[in-house]
Amino acid sequence: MKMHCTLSDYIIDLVQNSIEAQSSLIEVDVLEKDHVIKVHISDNGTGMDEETLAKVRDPFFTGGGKHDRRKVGLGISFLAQCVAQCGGKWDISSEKGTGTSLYFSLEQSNPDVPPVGNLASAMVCCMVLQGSYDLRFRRVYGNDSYSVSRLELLETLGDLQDAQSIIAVRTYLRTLEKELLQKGK
Amino acid sequence: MAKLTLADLKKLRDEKKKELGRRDTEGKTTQIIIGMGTCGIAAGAKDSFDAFLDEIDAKGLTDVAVTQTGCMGLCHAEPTVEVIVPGMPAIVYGNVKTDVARRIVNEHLVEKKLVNDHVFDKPAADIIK
Repeated sequence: MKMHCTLSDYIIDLVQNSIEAQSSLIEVDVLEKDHVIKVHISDNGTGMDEETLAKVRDPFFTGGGKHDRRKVGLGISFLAQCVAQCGGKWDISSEKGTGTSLYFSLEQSNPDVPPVGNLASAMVCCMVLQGSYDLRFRRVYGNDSYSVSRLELLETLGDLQDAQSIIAVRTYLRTLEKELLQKGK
Repeated sequence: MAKLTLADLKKLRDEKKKELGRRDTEGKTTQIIIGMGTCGIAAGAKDSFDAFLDEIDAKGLTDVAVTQTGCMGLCHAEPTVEVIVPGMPAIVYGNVKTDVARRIVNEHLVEKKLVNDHVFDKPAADIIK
């Protein structure tokens, strides 16, 4: 079974759930301190009732409806499996009409914890999806941090579909991330 | 060095635009649509996304839109990418690892030739049954 390789891949997958739920605001926090990584993703999308929420851990349940006959939904199942195999914690809460909030936290001393991976590229993927949503990304490493908001990027560049704009966003995020990691050393 | 600001971001993009002599009014846009569903992500679509950007940058191509979509029903052949070049048929490519992404930019976008060994035209059997 092929699963996501890095924590960045999990983040892309989970942010897409928020976008599919028609959120206008998604907040993503990725915090790394004292060898613990915590990721928190919350949105103001359609949310789920208790019955649906109870089913999201089931890999044979999907709320997506992208393909009528296909009955799998692996995004959250992958996360649950990953967290279980490296002794972390995760939880999801949701309210119909209000939004959904999900977090996971992993102790990086555990050798089974996947690497963070290319977080800058992952955030580019999350930022340049079509639609008018805002995505506020906050990255903390040790005692330093940076924040990037999708609406600010959109206002600055006027467009997030053109390859040259996306390349500029990627350079911007890569530089912020690189400087943060260097400072935190 | 001070932290990058949004003004720096704008400068980054504008310098690039100037360098490439891009005109905003220039008409026809090539579209690259990358399957970024769970199946695509697990197969490395993020790396392919990066490879497309790298090669577009290296070749100085303008008027290329890069977007993402969910699962296209070709989970067995992920990463999948649809390429729409004006004047050419829309093509869905499968197994687009980073090397294939670079080939698509060079062969399909630049030379206007299809990358025949990666063309996929049917979704998985459980979807069309």
